[in-house]
Amino acid sequence: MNDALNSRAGAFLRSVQDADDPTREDFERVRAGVKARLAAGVAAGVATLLTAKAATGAAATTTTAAATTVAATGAAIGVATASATVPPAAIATTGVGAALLTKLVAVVIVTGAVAGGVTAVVRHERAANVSPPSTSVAALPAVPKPPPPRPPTLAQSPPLAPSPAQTPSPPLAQSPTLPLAPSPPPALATATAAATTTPPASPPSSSSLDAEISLLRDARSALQGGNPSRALQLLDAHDRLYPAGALAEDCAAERVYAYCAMGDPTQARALAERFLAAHPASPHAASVRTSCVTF
Amino acid sequence: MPAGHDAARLAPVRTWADFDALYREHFRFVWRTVRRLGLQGAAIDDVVQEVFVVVHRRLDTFEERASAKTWLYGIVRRVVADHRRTLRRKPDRGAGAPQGPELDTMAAEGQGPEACAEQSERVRLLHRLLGELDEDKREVFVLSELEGLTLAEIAQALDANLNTIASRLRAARREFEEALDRATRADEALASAIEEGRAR
Repeated sequence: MNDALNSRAGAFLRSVQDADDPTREDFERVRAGVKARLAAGVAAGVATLLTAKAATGAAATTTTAAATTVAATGAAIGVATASATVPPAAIATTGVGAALLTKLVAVVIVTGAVAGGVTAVVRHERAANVSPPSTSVAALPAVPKPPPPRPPTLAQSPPLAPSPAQTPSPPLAQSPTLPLAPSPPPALATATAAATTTPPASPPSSSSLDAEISLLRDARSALQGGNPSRALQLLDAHDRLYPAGALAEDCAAERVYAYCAMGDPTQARALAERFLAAHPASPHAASVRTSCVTF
Repeated sequence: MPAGHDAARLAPVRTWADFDALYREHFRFVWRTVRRLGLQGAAIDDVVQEVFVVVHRRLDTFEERASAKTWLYGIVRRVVADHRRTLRRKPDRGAGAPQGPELDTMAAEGQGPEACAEQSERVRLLHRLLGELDEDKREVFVLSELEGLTLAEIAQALDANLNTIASRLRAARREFEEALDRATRADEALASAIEEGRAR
């Protein structure tokens, strides 16, 4: 190429080729910062949801359903008693602080609020080498001793009744309405704050849950942002990847709302019927029932 | 994580593991490029961090692309542009006089203090010369001459016509050469430092 750099400039560039490389510290520092922001983003998104749901007044009644898990108790009571001004997710995130968030992803999912309570699943994932921060537990409202690990909803209904999408190989054994049933409940302290958490059940579970949360969250924000077809795409992606995922039920409910927003009540009604047959006791049942289709 | 990775082949999945792999592979490229687009000090951290937050958000659009670097650079330039806009609105913050060279990258290379000083002189000069190019030429020059991207890749990254990129690069090369000559004419010590680097 006759328009290449002259040899002098070329030699100069070669001599500074790698001079702008990052150091190991740069790599780690920025990575920690990114991680903290991603974790905060998840928590913030859910905090918005929590606040919105609580504001409807649904969560103000007694939190019977909230007893589903120890973690859910923490989340729901936090919302109900603190008028949702400072959701636990936010407390946990700020309490941990950016510097200490290097290995922590706190994930809070609100599966829906109905007149009866809030069901929430709080999962925390962290690697073994995190030094636990200390402040966030104190910031949470006092949580009463958890009720027995078996949630009341469990006795009334089969939360894992087969949904259309479910297959026999769930990557995550728990469903949102049955979060801790198969395993012993963690100590209270581990549930109340992201700071002191249980290790993940298994890496694939937590990473797929992470991905499920992303998809559901993005679908919700697409729907709220007036883009139901985008929401449906994301829900399709979720169902394709995690047909028996922990959030399959939540996505099925979201799908009903998306078809409502699309102006397709026929499809919405068909899906709502299927949803209610499969999940009669779902925390989403009431809102599905009163979506654009009325039963 | 077998489950996550199998799924990743079927369709884009935004897990931390997928993201982290991308980060590990391309952090260096993003960091270098951000510096060579003229950011300094804490702004480098801010911008690189923001780039990867955006990367995480858009990870599902990534798999369709042939080249990670072109995709990443598309994000880098938008984030850098946003950052510059913010600085223009807040002129008192961060846009001040150019800071000294950042020597941290040299420390690890085990050079003696003299070689280190020469090298930092060259780096300072590089940044100054890049700063004399306008933004359009600068990015094409950096991607081509320092990152080794092909013209086609650059055109894709900038969503621009190949001929446009080619002529921009030609112009950038000429300007850079002239600026280098001017700089070394004005400073004998610098010239010998460069010759030093050339001999190596």
